[in-house]
Amino acid sequence: MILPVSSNKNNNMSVFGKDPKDKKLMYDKDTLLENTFNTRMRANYDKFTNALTIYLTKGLKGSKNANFYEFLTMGMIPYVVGSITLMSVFNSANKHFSHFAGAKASAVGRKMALGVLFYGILKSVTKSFVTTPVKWLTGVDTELPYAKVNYELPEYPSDSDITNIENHKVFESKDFPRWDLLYNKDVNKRNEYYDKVAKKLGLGDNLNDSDQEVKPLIKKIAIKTDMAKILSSYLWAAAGVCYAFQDPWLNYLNAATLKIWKPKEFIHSLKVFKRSAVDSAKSFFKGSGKGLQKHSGKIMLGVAAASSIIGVINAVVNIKNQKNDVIDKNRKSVVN
Amino acid sequence: MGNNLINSYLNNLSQQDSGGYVLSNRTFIKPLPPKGHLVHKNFLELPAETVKDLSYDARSFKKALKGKANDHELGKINDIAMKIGGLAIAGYLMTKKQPPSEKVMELVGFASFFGAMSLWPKLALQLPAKLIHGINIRQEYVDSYGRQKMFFQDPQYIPWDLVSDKKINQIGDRMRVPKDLPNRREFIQEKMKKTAIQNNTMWMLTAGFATPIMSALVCNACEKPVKKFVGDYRSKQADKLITDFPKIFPKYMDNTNFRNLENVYKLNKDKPLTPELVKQIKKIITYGFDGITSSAVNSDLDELFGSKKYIIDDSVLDKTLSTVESVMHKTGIKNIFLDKNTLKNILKDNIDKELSEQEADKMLRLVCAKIKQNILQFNSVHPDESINDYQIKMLFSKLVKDDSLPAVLKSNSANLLTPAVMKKLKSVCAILTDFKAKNNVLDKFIYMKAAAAPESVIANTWNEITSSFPELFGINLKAGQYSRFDRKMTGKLIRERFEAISSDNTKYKQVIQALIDKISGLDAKMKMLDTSSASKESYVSIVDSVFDEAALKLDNLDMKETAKSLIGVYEGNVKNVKSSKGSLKNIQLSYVSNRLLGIRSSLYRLLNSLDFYKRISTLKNIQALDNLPREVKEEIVELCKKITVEGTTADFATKFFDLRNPNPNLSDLSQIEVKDGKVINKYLNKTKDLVDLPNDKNFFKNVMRLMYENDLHPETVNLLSNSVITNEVKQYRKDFIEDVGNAFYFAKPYHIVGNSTTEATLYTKFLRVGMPPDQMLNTTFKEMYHTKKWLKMFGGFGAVLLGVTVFSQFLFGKMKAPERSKND
Repeated sequence: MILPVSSNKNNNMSVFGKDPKDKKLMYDKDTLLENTFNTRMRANYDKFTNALTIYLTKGLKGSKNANFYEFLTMGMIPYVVGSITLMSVFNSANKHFSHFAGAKASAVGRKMALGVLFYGILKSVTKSFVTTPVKWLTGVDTELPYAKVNYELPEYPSDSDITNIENHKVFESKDFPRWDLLYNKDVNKRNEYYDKVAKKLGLGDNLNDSDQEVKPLIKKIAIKTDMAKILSSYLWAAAGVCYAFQDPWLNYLNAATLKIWKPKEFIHSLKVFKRSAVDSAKSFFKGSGKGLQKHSGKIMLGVAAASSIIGVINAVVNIKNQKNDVIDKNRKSVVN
Repeated sequence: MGNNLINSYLNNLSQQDSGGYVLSNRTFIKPLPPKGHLVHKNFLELPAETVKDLSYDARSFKKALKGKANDHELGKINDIAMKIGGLAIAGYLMTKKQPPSEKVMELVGFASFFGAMSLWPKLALQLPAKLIHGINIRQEYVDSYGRQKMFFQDPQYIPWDLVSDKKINQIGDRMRVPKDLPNRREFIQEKMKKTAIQNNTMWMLTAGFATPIMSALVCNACEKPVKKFVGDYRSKQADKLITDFPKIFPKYMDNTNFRNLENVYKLNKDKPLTPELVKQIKKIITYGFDGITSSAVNSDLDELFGSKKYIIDDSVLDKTLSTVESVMHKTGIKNIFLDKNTLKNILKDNIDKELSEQEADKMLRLVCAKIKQNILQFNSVHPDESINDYQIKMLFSKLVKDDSLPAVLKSNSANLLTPAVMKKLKSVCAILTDFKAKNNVLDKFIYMKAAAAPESVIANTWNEITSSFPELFGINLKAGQYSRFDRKMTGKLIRERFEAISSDNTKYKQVIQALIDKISGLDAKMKMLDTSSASKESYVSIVDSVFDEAALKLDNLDMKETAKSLIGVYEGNVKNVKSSKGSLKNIQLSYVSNRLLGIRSSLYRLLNSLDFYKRISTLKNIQALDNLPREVKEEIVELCKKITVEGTTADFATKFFDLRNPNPNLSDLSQIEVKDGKVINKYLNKTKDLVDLPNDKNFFKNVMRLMYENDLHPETVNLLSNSVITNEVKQYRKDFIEDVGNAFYFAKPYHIVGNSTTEATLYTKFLRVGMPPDQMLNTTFKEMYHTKKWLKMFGGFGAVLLGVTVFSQFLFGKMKAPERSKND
């Protein structure tokens, strides 16, 4: 990467602060990160706060440095704002209604609000229903994060704050995965990651070019995993909304409080939550009436679970039957 | 997709001689010419584009499944999955128990949400940007690999080479970029890019607010048409149930009972009809039937099985002994006081013989007597271990009252499940199955048409009619919505409007005509239900034929109790019905007539009320006031005005509680004075100490006569004469006087209109009175207020959001043109 001249003296800059003396460079080059809960939370926090502040400001100004990553990250805003608006649409006006109509509308509105909440939670959480088993079974962590150090053009002549960090995933682009980050710096262990994956995939140990062997397979796994992850997370999210629509939730919604300074009420609401959650799960699964009306909950859950299971199976089975080798491995070749 | 350059190169390499020659040739390799182009869609191409997009989506899905998709294709999977998720939610909610139009609205909600998501950026950003800046910020292009993308999607990679100089300069002119600017194209491009970035950011900022609100507004707008469409569709579907009755009812036949009966017969052919077996057969035959029918069928089946006969054999003796032993232990008695030989001695010649019910009961008494005799004997011999009276009482209570010993002694029936009995049972089952299928069709028809459930045809029609009243009566919506808090306020408002309408003849005619049309419309929709209809395809005639036919068949099989439960008490022939009260047929018919009566009464009452106001306004047909003191006239008219608008069943039932002057001015017999529909009261409320006068029986009579007996206003009669409801209105007024006016009230026994009291049920009186206009409109005002309030909140917010978003265009794309150097 060609660095702009001005960045040489700002090597120790952080993207978060303004005073160069106080700042420490978190990363001075693109860096592979461990996929831990902490890393994921931090990345999400950074993305969300940046989307609401820096990227929004840059976008509204029409900055020449605005990029596609920032645009995509700003996609979080409609999700969050939309969820709140949706809750509001069903609840805000209810207090102006007559008591009976207000109570009726609130019962539906609060279930809708709960549905919006469950949609978001389940959509996020259930991605791991696919990615984690795939990681266990193949050794390929399709969610592996890395920090990308981005160099920008100065906005004005004296602009020295020209670096920022973007949170990416190694396999987020299937066309251009960041293979380079997966090589070990130690020359003797250069293919360590690829060796491990090759072994896990049953290609054997001590391969001459394990990286060349497994890259196409990893790519295939990453594509299949992503597809299953996307599809199943939306189905689980839908199941979450349907779960929120069960009547026993009304017991909790009537008792719900976040006033932790009133411990008695708060603890009571937690107890009711537990009871409502269990009763709602039973009601969702067992259903009522007959035919489709009775079994729709089971179908919904079954389809969501099946999408995760089949998705994992599709991602890990039949991976090695790949015949797209560009170079004949048995033939000697010259590389200039 | 374009050729893979490396592949081509390597393929060529393998086909040529190895050596330095090939390598030196690599300098000739250069990129293929780009094949990308801008996409210009028009409305006509939309269907083709949609098909193309769907085909691309399907291909993307297939490739992703095989692990061969690229980033663009995976992006498409996300869009598809999001829609599948939305559809799954709508689908699930549609399966839940809710009114039919709500089910459709789930789909409308799904479509409107995704529609709003797509429409908002086009409407609020793309269109204004195009109009103001001349830039299509959502321009799409197809790259060399055939992937369709947004032109300004990635600001760091915009394929400017796809846009001609001419087009760029046109946009530059529109953006007022100086024509003589050096590097004009680059400057215009930067300006376009800046505008696009700002618009894309604005999209992200506003979409979260706009999508749910737009979607909700669309749903709100669609609710009425959807309800109307679904209502009309269901009404037609319901009518079909009656018109195609012979074709439809076979589809409702459920032969489960018949099959179960066959199975029981296979297992118990020629076996004794034990109480358990009889119970099982009864349960099978009456499964799915109401209590009245079941009870009647059970009674008839008992007759069908013939008089009960039992056989006490060795096994019964063993069971008797074990039962006695068990009961004794439970009571705390250690000895049994009975053995098999004793039992045989008691029963003697009755063992292994057919016993009648009475004979079996006699055996029971003998066994009990012997046990008691043995206990008493034991007590006399062993006074220390004697069994006390309480224990003895408990023992026989458990033995006899709890039915343990009688059941054992009668456990071996002498009646058998013979083929002859089975033939009869099958005939009964077949008749009842056929009747049940037909009855289910009739029930479904009634549910769809007249049930007290959301979105039945009658409920929809009622809502449609009542929601039009505020406009019809010219009620100020703001005042109406304000009065939603209190029915009294609504009543006052209605009274003012009725007075205004009645004083304006043109308006009066217009309102009455509209009201007549609405009531006639209701009658047209309920034609199939009308109990007076004699058509063969009417609900009533089908109910008649279904119930009568079933009753006749059952009567032929001696199932007389069941036949009676269906059609009522009859003598000899089923056609000779003496009383149908309480019969299922009567219930089936009266449910409908009651539902219609309640609704019609409410609407006729409104018509009658308006007519009353008109008669007062014009002082015509008010004979009930003749020869009365003016003060009393004023009191009566005032009460009538209140009662017609606000009166409930309780007001009529208690013969009106009204505070009046106990000593009215009797000398002034002049007529009341009316101006603009309002009575100019000379005496009313001018005195203090007003009281209710329960002894003035004529007051109630005059009030009722004025409202319901005096002739309608000629204008009303004229308008009604052209309608189909003339006779119905006349009958309504007559019936009202009969059922409500002549009703007995213990506190005011002589307050009746006629000469004698009548005994209409409370329910009939309730239905005759109907819903008071103030209650009717108060509910409508509440609903209108809720809708308006919600629309004001979110519609207002949506409008402001749209305004701000559109206005922001004027702030976008601002760039300073580079200053020219002095040398330029």
